[in-house]
Amino acid sequence: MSNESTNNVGESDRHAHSSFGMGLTAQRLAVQGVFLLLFFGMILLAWNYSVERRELRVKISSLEQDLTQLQQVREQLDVANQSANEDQQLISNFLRLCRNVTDIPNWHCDRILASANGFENLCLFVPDGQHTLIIHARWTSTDYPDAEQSGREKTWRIPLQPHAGYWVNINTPSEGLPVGWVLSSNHPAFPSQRAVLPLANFSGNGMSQRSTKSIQYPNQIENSFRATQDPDSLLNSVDVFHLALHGEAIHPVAEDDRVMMDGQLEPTEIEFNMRIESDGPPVVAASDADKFYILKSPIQLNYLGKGMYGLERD
Amino acid sequence: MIRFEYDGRAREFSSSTWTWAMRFSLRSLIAWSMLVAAALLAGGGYYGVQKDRQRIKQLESEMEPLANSLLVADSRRHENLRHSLEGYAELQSLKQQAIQHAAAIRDRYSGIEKRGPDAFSIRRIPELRVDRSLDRRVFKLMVPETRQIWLKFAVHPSEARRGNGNKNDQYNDWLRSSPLTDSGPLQFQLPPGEQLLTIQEQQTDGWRAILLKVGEQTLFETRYLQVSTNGFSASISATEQVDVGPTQELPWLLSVEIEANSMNVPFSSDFSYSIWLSDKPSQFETMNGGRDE
Repeated sequence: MSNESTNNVGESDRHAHSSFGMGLTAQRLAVQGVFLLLFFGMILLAWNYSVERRELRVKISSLEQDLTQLQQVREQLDVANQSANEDQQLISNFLRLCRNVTDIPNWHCDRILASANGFENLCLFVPDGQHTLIIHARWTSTDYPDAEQSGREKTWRIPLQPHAGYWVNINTPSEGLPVGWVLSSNHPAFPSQRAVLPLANFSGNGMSQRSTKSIQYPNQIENSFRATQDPDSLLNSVDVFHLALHGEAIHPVAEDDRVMMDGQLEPTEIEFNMRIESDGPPVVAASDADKFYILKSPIQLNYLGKGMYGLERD
Repeated sequence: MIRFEYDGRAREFSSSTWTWAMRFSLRSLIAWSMLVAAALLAGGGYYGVQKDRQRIKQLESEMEPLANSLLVADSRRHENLRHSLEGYAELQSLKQQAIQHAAAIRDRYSGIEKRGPDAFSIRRIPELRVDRSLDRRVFKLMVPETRQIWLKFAVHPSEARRGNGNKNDQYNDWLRSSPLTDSGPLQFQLPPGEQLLTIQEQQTDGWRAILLKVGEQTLFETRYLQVSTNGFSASISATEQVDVGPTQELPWLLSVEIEANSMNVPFSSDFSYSIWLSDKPSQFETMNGGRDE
């Protein structure tokens, strides 16, 4: 009994040991399985993150490159905008230093340079190409603003030599001459020209001047916003000079096919407007062209180089 | 635990368990280490991914306003910005040409002729303003040996100058205290012969420095903390030579209205300084002009 029992115990112990060993093996397998699952899971995750990071780093590097480029362009534009304003101011200052037509240099540029020097003078340079100076004068009697003004204005169209400097002087009463203009050039093939207005005894008591841009492309539009709203306002010319003289003068009176100058002194305003008409389409400077895109203008913009667009209506 | 009651097997069993336990410990140590390493690797990867994503967000947020300002979304408008740079390039070239030509114009108009033994002559030399912080006026003078010509500097309320025309010598209430660090009034007898007079204002760090020079000799220097400079006026604005005989009044050269900050005056007010020429000396101190440049 005791042997049996001992044997029984031994059997059960072996059995227990064996079943314990089997349990242990299963447990070990389970533990190992979990371990392997976790381990490889982690490895897989790490590998996945590493792959993702490689992609992200490529993206970061590309973004950093883009950002640097954008920053450089922004900086370049800011500096260029600021120095463009300063450069324009300096060029205007220079034009005002010129005292007569011989002071106007032989600029190497594609733009029209114009500056009023004092009230009575226009210092002008036109680049290569065909240009015409249009001088428009209008004299009105301010006592009778509603009176018939026909015959009280005149337009002169003067073809200019390309790539040359010009000087227009308005004869004003202070110089004791009849009111008119004198145009001279530093181009040897361009003779001086002059004209006077049919007014007698003009005595002035004031002048006013409207400023114009000193540096313009030929046919550069004056107001890009207006052009987007009203394509009919596009002109093939640029404004270069405005002067209004106020005073008194004797206006000519037509009588029996004769023009008489024996009338009374009338309060008079004389306006001089000068424009340069050039070959080619109206243009807009690239710095002003954005309005056409923003306002979705029907006008077509064709880039002509050197920062200007030619404008074409559909 | 019961199994320890049995001899032999139990010990045997105990020994095998211990061995297994020992083996398990080493294995588990390695396993845990590997697991921890893998976890760290994965964690590090996750942290790195998050960091990179944040960096991308940061870069994108930095790029957005820049891209908007540079109109990147609209290729035509973006291209237009590049075109405007091409337009500016020509302006730079024009600026360089202007600076070169200005030297020629300056040479052309810087000569002065002697017009008789008693005539004082003056002309303003054309000067291209290149540096916006520097405002300079240069005059060429011909001082006759037979006359005493005094250069004078004084500070006064702006209104006083306006009401005074060009009779500066008849005005007596010059200010000795003003926003200027040195208000004068001062005078300097110009030496005979051809002289170059420079009057300049230069902006540096909020201060505006006024400098008077004859030739290379600095006569006088003063400065003020600028709020604004209201107006400039100079009677000799033309570049033509002006001749002044002994019976004619010598010209005033410059009056500048300033608004300045100062500890010397209790309230902000308009001040002007004037620089003019005179045949007669005043009860002013002499500009020492002790410094040669």
